[in-house]
Amino acid sequence: MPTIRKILIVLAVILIFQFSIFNFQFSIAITPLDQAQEDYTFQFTKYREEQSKYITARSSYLTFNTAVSKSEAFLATKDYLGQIDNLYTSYILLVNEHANSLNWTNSTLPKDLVSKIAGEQTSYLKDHQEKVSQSTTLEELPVLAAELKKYVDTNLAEKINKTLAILEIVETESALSDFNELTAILDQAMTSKNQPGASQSFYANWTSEISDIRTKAEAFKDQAKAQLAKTEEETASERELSSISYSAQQAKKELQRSKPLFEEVIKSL
Amino acid sequence: MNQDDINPMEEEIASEEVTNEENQKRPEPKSKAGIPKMRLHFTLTKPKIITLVILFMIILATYFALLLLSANKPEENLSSIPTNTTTYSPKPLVDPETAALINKVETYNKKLDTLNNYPKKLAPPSVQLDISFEK
Repeated sequence: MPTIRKILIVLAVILIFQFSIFNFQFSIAITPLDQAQEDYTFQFTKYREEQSKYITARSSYLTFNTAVSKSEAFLATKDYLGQIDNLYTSYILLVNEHANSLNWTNSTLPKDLVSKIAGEQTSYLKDHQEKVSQSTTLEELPVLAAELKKYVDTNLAEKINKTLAILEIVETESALSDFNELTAILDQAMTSKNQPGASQSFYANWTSEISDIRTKAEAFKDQAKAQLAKTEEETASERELSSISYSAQQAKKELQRSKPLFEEVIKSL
Repeated sequence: MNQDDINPMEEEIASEEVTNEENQKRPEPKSKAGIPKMRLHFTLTKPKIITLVILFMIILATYFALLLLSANKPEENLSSIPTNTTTYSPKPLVDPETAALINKVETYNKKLDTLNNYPKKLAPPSVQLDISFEK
């Protein structure tokens, strides 16, 4: 009997060990971008909850106007404002993680600027949250809310616009670089494997299509970069962002045309 | 038949029945002697082995199931899984060079499918910041 117990204990230990390895593999599969996205979703859900509590407490205070209802309104508003700071912080971190997930090696745009903007914004929100937590009366909170609103409308929004415009262009540049690299490889494979003759017309047409895609995509990308160059050093308006994004999206659309062409080449090899 | 003739016959039948009953009863002691051995054999030794074998098989099955599950890593961005991914039907004998090319094209296509529209995807949260306690 003791030997059976020993065997069972050993088997149980092996099973637990295997289970923990499995869990570890699963946990390392989550990227920082996934983590940031999860955090942002969580903070948004919590924001909704705090907003609901704030609306109820405010309504109760405005109806009864008692000391208790004022105290409850103060606590609910304080939590609500604190949660808004959390939500904006998680949003900025999510934007920053998107920037980190891009390939910047082929880009001439500054990644440092994106990190700098993210750092400044999170620092401001941390200070604001500190002010909210140190507030003691209900009268202080509308002032702090107005202060944050002004900052978001004038500073944060325009700096995030600039960041998003940079991300649009960097992603386009990266995709264009991949396109050029793959085109060169496939071109070489086609010239070395295919015999001259019937395939020559196919090759000529393929080259012409690829060249057309490259020219158009590069033109749109350059257009987006020129529009970005016209913006302020650290900010961009809503309108500027939409026109930069439009040009970048056009370039990406051109690159999408290469998919069937590459597949055709693979079939011909 | 008179009474004298019947009696011997009855005795004969009765004696035959007795011997039959005796014959039927005889093997019983043998079987009774065999049962304890069989029971001992199945109830004391085999269940342990069977339990261990079952446990070992369960552990093996769990191990392979976990291996299979861990092999299927989750996609980086589930929301943008391409719906129209073209799958190639490679020729029976694909040389490594062509296989590498197919791989590169597939990676490129996947990247194209996951290109973003950042102003839409990363739009700032819509937050209610007009806080006032005036009626």
